[in-house]
Amino acid sequence: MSKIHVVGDAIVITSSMKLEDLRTIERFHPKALTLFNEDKEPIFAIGTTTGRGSVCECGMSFGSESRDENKLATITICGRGIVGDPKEYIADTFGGAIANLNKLESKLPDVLTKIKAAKQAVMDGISVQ
Amino acid sequence: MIKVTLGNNVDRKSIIVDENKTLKSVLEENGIDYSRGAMHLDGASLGAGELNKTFAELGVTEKCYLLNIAKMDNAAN
Repeated sequence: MSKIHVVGDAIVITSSMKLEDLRTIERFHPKALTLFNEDKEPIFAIGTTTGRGSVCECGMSFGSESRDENKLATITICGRGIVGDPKEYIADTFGGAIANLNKLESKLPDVLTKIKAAKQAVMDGISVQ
Repeated sequence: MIKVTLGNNVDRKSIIVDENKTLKSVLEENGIDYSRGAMHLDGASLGAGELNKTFAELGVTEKCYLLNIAKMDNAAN
């Protein structure tokens, strides 16, 4: 599950996935990063970008990674001015997006495993002379 | 991320993309032929070179319509 930290007016959303892994999935299986409704219309998507990243009702773009050894994908939101209780504010402003992010993240490790297995199968067939 | 409705005179679909992507890359990834007809962003026709700009550079922050409008001949006898 993703984590959210508040320091002053800065809100940092940290994914449970590494930024590098999100880029891999985005490259080889981008549909896995989108949630669809019953009519197969996209309702929410995550992806990678440059810079701090962004959050909106229809998706999240992760632009950087955590500074520890885990290198998890992060979004930093600054300067919005948290009003009232921070937890209430974040739940009201980003709650829907966070819930959708968690839904997607629960499926991504399996997607990544399949991509790595497919890539390994290709590499196993390559001989370097 | 932004929601883009893209397509042409007869077919449209919605996708969600990063606003820092160029219009051209999104069109190519979705198989839209931008070499014929005129490209319109939220009803305004796009000029030469604007397809190489990102949605963010063109001021799109939440959602937009990116459509290829082909001119049809009149059914005149």
